[in-house]
Amino acid sequence: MKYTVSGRETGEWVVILHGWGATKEAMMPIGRGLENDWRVLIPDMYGFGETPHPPRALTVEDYAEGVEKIAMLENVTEAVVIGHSFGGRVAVKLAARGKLKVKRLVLIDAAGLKPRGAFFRAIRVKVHKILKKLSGRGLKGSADFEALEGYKKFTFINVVNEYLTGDARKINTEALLIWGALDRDTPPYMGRRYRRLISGSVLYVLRGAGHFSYADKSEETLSLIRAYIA
Amino acid sequence: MINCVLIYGFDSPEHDVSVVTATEIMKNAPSRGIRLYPVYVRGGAWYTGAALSDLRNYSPFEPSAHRAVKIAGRTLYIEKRGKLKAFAPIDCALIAAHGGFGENGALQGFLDVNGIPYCSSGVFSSAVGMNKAAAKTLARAAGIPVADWMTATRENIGEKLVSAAAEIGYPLMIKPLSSGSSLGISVAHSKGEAECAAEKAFGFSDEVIIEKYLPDAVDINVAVLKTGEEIRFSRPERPIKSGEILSFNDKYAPTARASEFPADIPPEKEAELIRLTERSAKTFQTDGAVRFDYLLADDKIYFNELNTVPGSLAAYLFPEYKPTEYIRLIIETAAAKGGAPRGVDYDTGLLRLKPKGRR
Repeated sequence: MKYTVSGRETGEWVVILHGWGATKEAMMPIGRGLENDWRVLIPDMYGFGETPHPPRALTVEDYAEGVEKIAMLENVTEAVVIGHSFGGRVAVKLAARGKLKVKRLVLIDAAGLKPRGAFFRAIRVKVHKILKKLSGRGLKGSADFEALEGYKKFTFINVVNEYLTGDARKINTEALLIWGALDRDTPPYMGRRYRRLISGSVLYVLRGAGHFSYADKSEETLSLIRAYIA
Repeated sequence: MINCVLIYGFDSPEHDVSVVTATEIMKNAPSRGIRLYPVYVRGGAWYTGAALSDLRNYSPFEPSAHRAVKIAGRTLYIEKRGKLKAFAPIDCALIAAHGGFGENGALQGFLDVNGIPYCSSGVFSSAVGMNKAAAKTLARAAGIPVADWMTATRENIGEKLVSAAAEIGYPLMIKPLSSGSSLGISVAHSKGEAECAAEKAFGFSDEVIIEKYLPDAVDINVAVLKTGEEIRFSRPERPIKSGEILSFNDKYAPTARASEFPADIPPEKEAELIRLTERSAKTFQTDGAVRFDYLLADDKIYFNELNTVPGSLAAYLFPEYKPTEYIRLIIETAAAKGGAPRGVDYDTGLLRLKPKGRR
C-alpha cells in the first residue's frame, strides 16, 4: 500500500482509512486538522488511488494485514485508528485482531454490519440466480459493484458479505462513533448497533449530515475527534 | 489532561466578533493533553456541543441542536428536563467574550467565586478596562499621558458639548463609554454633527466620552502576554483605517483586516511604547493576553484604551507562536494557577461569641 505520513515528528500516531472508491486525499481534511499534535498516516487501500489491486480476490482481513504491514514499516506499534465507511470495516478488523495496538477507535459512518431488509434481499438474489440460469443475465448490482472490473469485483463481493458483529464484540478499546443522521448507505441504526457491540463506545449522530458526515460537518467532526483522542 | 471551558457569546454588541474568535480558537485548538469544551452564552442560557464549532450554526441559531449546560463549582453540568448531570470537571476557563458581561468583570467574578482559574485579566482590570473614563483617569494618575476628555450622559449632553467646544475644541471624537471594537464611535466637526454623534454613541452605552480628535494621530497597539511571572511585549502594530477613525470593519471584517506589523515607527518611539506598556500593565494589573491601544500624534504618545479580551486574543501580534502553541500556552498557564485559594480560615472569633445576658 502507498501511503503518506505528515504532522508532528514527535507526535503519537493516527492512522486514517478511507472508504470504498475513495483515496487518501479524501481523508486529508481530517489529517490536516490533527497535524499540529499528531503524526498522521493515511494509506491508499488496495485498488484505490496509487495502490494497485493485487491479482486475486481480497477480504477485509487482507486489507487489515496490509495496514499492519505499513504500520510495521513505519515502526508504529500503537495508534489511534480512524475509519470511514469501508475504512471503518478495516478499522474494526484491525482493532479486533490486536496486532497493531489500537489506542482509540473512531468510526465514521462505518460499514460492516448486516443491513436491514435481509428478507427482500434474499428474494432478489433468488430472482437474480433464476434469471441468470434462464437467460444468462441476472439483475443489475449496485452502482459501486457495476463500476468494478476484474478481481476487484470479487473483492467487493467478499467485503460486503462479511459481517463484523463478532469482531466488534472482541474490541476492548474505547470507540467514538460519528454518524450522519441522513446517511442512507450505512444508516444511523448501524451506528447504534455498533454502540451496543463495542463496550465503552459513544455515538454522536450529526444533524443534516449524510454518508460523508465528516465532509458535510467538517468542523463538528474534527472537534469531536480532537476532544475524544486528546 | 486539562479540561478547559471556552466561554463566549453573551448579549453584547460584539457578540458576533466573540463567535468568530471562539470558532478560530476551536479550529486551532491543541488536540493533545487539552480538552476544550465550548460554552456559548446566549439570551441567558448556556450551551455546549460540537455543532458550536461551525459558524453556519449561529445564524439562525437553534437552541434545540445544542446541549444546555450550567457551571457550578468546578464542574460543567448538562441540563436535561430541569435536572443537572455532571458532565466534565473544569480545570480552567478561556474567555473569548468581547464586551458586556464577558469582558466587564462580571464573568471574571463568576469564575472567581466558583474557584475556576481563567486565562485572562481579573475583575479589577476587566472592569476598569471596560469603562473608558475610569481607564483614562487611572492611566493619568499613574503618569501615563492621556489626551483631554470629558464624559456626558443623556441629561447633560447639551451643556457638556458647549464646554467641550470651549475647553477641548472641535473636531471632537464621541464614543460610548463602555463598548469596544469601534462600535458607535464618530467624529464631529460642528455642534450639529456632535449631537448626531452623541445620539449614535448613546445607542451603545448610557454614558459617552468626548475627547479631542487628533486628525494626524496614528493608532498604535501593543499586546502584552503575561504567563505566570513571565511577561512579553509584542512589537507595535498599526491598524490601517479606511475613514477618519478605525471602523468596526477595519478591525474585524475578514477581508479588510489590514494592519502594518510591525509598525514603521522610529526605534526610540518603540522603546518608549514598550516602557509605557510595562507601566500600564502594572497599573491595570492585567493578566494573560491584553492589548493596549495608543494614539501617536505630534511625536507624542497618548494612552487610548485597554482591551482585556482583545480580538483573536492578540495571537497575531505574537507571530513567534503558532496559533495552536499560543492557545496551549495560555491554557496551561491558567490551569497551573489552580484556582482561588480554598480552605483559608479567616477566624475572627466573631462567630464564637456567646450572646451576653442570657442563659
